[in-house]
Amino acid sequence: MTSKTPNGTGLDELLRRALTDDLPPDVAAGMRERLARFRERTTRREGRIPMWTLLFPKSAWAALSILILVSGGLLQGRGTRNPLSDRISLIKTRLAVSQQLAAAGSMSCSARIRNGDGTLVDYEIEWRPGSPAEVLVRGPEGSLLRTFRLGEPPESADPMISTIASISTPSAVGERLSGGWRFVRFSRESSCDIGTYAIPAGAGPEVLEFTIDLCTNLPVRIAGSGRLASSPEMPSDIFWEATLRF
Amino acid sequence: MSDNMKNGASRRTILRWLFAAAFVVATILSGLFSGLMNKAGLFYLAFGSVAVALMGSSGREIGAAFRFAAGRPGQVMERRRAAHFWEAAARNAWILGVLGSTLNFTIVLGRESGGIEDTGNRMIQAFIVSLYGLVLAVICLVPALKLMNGIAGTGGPVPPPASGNSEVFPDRSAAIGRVIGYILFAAVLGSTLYALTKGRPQSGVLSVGKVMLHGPAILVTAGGTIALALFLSAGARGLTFGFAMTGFISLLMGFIQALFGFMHRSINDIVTAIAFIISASSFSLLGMLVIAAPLEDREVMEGRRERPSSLSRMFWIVYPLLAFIFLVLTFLMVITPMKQKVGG
Repeated sequence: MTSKTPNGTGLDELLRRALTDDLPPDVAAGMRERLARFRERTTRREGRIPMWTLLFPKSAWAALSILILVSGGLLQGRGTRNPLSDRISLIKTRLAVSQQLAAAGSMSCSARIRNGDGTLVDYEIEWRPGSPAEVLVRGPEGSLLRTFRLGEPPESADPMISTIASISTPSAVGERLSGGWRFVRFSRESSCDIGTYAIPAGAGPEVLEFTIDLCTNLPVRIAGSGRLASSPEMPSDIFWEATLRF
Repeated sequence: MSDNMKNGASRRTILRWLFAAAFVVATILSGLFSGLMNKAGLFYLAFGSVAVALMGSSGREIGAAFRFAAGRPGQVMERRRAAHFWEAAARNAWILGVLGSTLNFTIVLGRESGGIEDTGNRMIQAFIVSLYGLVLAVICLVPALKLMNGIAGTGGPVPPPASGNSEVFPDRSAAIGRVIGYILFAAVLGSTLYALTKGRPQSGVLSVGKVMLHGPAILVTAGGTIALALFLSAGARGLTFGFAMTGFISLLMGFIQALFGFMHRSINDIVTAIAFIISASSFSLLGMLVIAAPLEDREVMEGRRERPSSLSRMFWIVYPLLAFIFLVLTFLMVITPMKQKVGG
């Protein structure tokens, strides 16, 4: 019946001989028409060449597909990242940090502030559970100007201290960390991965950069600059940084 | 069968469907399952199913399938084609559901969020689309099974596919229907992604695209599928096999890489493996749904094959299930925090 089955012509002949007298002419005509249509379409399908083989032969497509497969596997093996990887990394880090923060033993924060006369003053606050936080004030060359504990009289003499202390308590840092995070960059240092994220510093456009050691999931540094408090008396160029120890 | 009896059977079938629809609407309105409501997922599944049905069947075949499901009598071949349409619709709903979950999951991971709790809730919400897909698949299987049983109940051998029948060969209207199906599917996918991402700062369809396009996953899925389909030389069945097997191998590959990442405490390995699992399952499901399955449907509808191969049928059920299981594993891997090394 088709070009592929020449032996079928014998069967056709046999059927024609056996049935020719019994079939009414209109039925025979209908059958002939159907057979012709079927033969035409089948032949057309048999002769059809796939479009993709017109560009390259099948073997070239096979080689290309293997090449694509292997390159994909190699890229994945090398740890190629994309925005999705970065976002997953961010979520995993946030989970880990929130757990680690609860277990933090102590925390130190430092703030560098330019005074009205242009000199830089460093404030270092050491937070320890169960005892008042210790404050160290250093001059431009790192010389220790004074030291005291939070809540003691010298604090009231320097309005900057209470503002810096209020934004750098462990609970304030924890609150900042619970806000929305945005991925800033990812860097690899030696065998460990260091990730840097940005978190909102407040209602304004300022952000704090939050650097974490991805091997241990420990925060390495939290740093921010700009106006961190809403008070207009605050100087505009504060550099604020917190380092957590566990 | 007299005309009165035929009309009575059709009326009873329509009444049954109306009753079932009223029950579903009443359940939704009662608010009992308000926690399971995902409007974007419902829109995607309903219109996505229509689009994918158009890719594999002509409008005439779809109309006939609905008429036979409503109890209309007909020839065995026509009823068999109608049964295949409903089986294909069930398959499409199931694959669409799991694909919807995967895409929704990717969007949740890829966009800004208020907090970790919000992200977790949205990730769980993503699984609801699979539930919708499964429910719709069960609904579509009812007419398929009824028609199959009806064919089996007629007794005697089932005639071979009517290859010479002009009605089953492709015509221009079927080709136009397929083009409309692909355009509609792209529109449904685009509008669903837009609905899920609108109003989010620093997000949107373009950034979602960047998140979804994980290069290695695309290369492995495309390369593996083409290679397998070429070596098999089995047409559409080869493509189904290729997408399913490449997808499964990718899932396992990603999972093993993630396990190594957990062992070596390397976040980079874990996150790239998770991204690979999610992207590879998305692309293999998408390929299976919009490339392989419609081609197999055309083979059956045009009478070139009596029915889809058993292997393809198995892949249509098992592979989305595996993809769903791996998605759940991925969710667990995302929310499992890494522990600090002892002494590290």
